[in-house]
Amino acid sequence: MKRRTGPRIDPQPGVERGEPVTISVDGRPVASYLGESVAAAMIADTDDLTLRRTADGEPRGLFCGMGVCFECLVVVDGVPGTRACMTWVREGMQVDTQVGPGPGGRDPAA
Amino acid sequence: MLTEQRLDLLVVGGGPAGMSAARTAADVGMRVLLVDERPTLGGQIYKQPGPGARVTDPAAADRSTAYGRSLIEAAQASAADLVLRTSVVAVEQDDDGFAVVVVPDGERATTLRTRRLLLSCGAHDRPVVFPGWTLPGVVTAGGMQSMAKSQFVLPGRRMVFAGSGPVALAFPAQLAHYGADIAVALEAGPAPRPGDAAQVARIARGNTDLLRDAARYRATLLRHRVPLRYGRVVVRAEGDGRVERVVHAAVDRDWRVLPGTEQSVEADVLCIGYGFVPSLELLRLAGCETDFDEDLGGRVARKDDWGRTSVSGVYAAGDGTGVEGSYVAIDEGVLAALAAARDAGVLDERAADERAVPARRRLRRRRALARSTRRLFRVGPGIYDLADGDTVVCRCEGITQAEVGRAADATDDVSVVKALTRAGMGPCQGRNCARHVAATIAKAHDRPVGTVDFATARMPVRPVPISAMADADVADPGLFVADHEADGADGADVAVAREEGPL
Repeated sequence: MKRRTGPRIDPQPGVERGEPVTISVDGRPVASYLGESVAAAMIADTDDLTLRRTADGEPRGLFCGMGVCFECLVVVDGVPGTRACMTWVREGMQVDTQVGPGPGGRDPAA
Repeated sequence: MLTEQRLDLLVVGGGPAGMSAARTAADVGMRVLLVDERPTLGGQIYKQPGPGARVTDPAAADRSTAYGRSLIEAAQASAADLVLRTSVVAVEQDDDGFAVVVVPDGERATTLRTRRLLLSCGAHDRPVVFPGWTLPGVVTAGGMQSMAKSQFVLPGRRMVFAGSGPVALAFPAQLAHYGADIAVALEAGPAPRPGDAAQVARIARGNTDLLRDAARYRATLLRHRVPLRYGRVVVRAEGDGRVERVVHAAVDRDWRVLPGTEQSVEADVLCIGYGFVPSLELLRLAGCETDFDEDLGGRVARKDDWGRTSVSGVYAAGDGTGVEGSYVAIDEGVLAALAAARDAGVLDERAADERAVPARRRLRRRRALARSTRRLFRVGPGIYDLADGDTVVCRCEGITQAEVGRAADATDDVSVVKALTRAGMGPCQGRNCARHVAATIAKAHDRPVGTVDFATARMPVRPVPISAMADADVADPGLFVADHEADGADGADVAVAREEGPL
């Protein structure tokens, strides 16, 4: 078995990662690559799989990964309710996590 | 970029069906536009690297990626206009066809007018409701594949795969190949019998891809020491704020859990792949009739053997109308485009028939193969019986099985259950819970699940930012309301469909 040290794996043969970029998640710089969705960048950044919390405080993570379930909603450049799995990173993108319908901030314990 | 002129054909969805339809229609001289909300063509099946990733050696790509790329290049080489990152949010009939409201990414909504509409919106993973399915770490097979294959990220450290059908071998094999540590792969269906291979070979002579693939996947799992266990399903995911353990159990032939067979395994990711269901919302919005066929994904579009739906001028093709896989989708796209051309008078009957011959021949062969393997890939009704009272059924609104069950005891009308509980009123529009709610109603009233329709689709089928609607030339501005007027919207500044009150 291939050994891997983190969530990022080798691209499929004949493909390379895009240019490295830095986005901000809840004000924290997060290293990412062009070609990654916001969801992928957030998942690759920490061991925590929580992407948002419901208004009741329940943690939710990536579920469908294809724009169907609306479980990965985040605030992107000030627009809440944006699907992290369908939004592609670009340099300087400002991402804020959501609690319920609005900006919230990631669980500090995470 | 989007056209002011009325189109001959608007194709929604850029997967195999949509790409082949757009190309076919353009090749016979129709003015055709294809829209897709993703940034790349190819759909979910032929996942292309994310936008910005670099293809350095096209020849090194795996078979599926390379084939997908060849379809994309053929569509691009045709005269069809292809527009990406654009969501369709509403469809209405007008005096000469259809008014279709689209929202290009980050731009304002605009209305496209087209004489004919071809819907090839694809499928998504069959939602399966079980205790713990909302925990972070529970990811659908399609979502996991998208992460791994087009974005090169694998969530978590140790995975359990649970599923059925062709994907139950393909996905874990692929994920193990990418480096996933898979504790166990669970297939709900029975282990293949020696006779199955012979049966497939006899019915679908000269069509052995499936057998070859299955053998290859099993070998891959063996090589990566992934235990593959047949006749077992996930029964719950457990953990504090994330998946920590997965409990699975043996099932009978209807996928009913056998008492005393539960086992627990430590894992932080649970990948769920119980097949796919058609994304029907635009078809339903256009008023198309549906039928029920669990083998094809449950609720499916009613269509003739050209892909004509019950609504004149609306055509359907691919997994979005009934899940039969990418090869069927490609040929259904060809037939639906030919039907549109024939109905438009672009082709006469004979020309359309002649052009349809190769696609029809391939479809016959494919469908014979599918019939021969149904025993292996059938979905058991026990899959709808895993939730307990506290299990959240509607993820968007946080509605539990107990709440849905109480409403289902009171009425067998799915719209009333929706109105009573709010299940299905969130931004996903019931895509995750509609079939489970229907199954709960069916069980409460002792009816076959196929006799319970899903709740009516509402516009917009995707939440639309208010900013995208301002000043837009929208067919019916009254459809959209600010979220503070319709509580329950999951997002400020997001317009949601105006719901009808309790009936």
